[in-house]
Amino acid sequence: MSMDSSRILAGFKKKPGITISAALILAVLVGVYIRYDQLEMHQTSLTDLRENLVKLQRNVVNSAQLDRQLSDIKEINSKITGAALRPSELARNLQFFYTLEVGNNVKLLDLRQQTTATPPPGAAAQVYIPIRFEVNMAGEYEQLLKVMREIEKTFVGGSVVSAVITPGAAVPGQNPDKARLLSMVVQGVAINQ
Amino acid sequence: MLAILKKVSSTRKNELGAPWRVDFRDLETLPDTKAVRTDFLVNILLFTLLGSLLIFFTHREITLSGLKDDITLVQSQIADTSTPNLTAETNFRDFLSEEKKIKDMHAWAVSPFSFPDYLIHLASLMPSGVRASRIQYQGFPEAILVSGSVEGQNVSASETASEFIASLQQDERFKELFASVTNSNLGRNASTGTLSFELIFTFAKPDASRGIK
Repeated sequence: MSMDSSRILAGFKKKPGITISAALILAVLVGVYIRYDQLEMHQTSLTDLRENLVKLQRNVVNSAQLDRQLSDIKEINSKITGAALRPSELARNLQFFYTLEVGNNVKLLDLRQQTTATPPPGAAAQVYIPIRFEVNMAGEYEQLLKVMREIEKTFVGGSVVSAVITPGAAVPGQNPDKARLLSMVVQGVAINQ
Repeated sequence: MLAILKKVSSTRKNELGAPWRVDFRDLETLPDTKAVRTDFLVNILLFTLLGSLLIFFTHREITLSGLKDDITLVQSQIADTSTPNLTAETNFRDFLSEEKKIKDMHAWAVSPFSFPDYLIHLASLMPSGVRASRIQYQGFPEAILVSGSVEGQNVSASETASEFIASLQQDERFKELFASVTNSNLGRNASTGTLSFELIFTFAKPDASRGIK
């Protein structure tokens, strides 16, 4: 061992330039080997970060109108919630039909809030659910028509689900020829409580 | 055997002859007398290799340093963008949640058909002398049954009924909404002196979304 060292030392003394150069080449090669994957690793990292940045910037740019849209849709839902019926408020719900009766000179023969309206799929998770009423009333054709239109306009999502119009007994003060009996099921939007 | 062979070999060597004179040079100490010294060439080669390697290594390190700077810059931009992005994501989630409420409701609450509008349009197409006595709306998208009568029992009444039914079948709004308007029954009613008819309006399911509105 000491002999090898002495030979290396002798070689170094004899040809220092070559020895130093060889040592430096070896050192640089080791350095290149150790740090060889650093460049690719950082390039990949930079590419990923840039993609992420582009995605974030696109999100921000695309959401420029989102604040206003969110505010609008919240306002719409707030209006629907305010106007929608509450299944538990039976008296208040039926009161609407009594008001229609008085306002349109028709006679309300029967009125029931359906408690077992078929819920739509996934209704349990829904905020709004349908609420239905069975309504029987007598009156002139035009008046009954007006009642149906008022229901459609006043109820949120109001519609006539089914109906039968037949000749009926006249309400006092009405033309017997125009007297009709209307049996219908109407639907509106209620809050899922 | 081996000794004999050795002997023969030594003999042959003597026959080939020894160097013609003794070489007294000490090659270790003699200077290199070539035009370009070997050491010089080796040095040049090694320095060139070393220089190339250093340039390669330095170039990679400079590139790496640039990449690190770029990464720092991008990370800083991401940090700046992440707050508004987080707000946007939160808003978007809220928006989807609010939108879902309306979409779920829209699926069942918004009917493409309005029965009162239908009645108004039907009445507008009825000529004088035609009356609808019973109208049964079975729900969308089932059918609507209309029973009615035409005053009189003569040819004129029959023509009126036929024209009325034809006008319903050719009406553009009804064509959009109903697949067919068929007359299921037409006969005289002796007790009332009228011509009775029964009509079936069958909804056109694929195009029903247009509706009468």
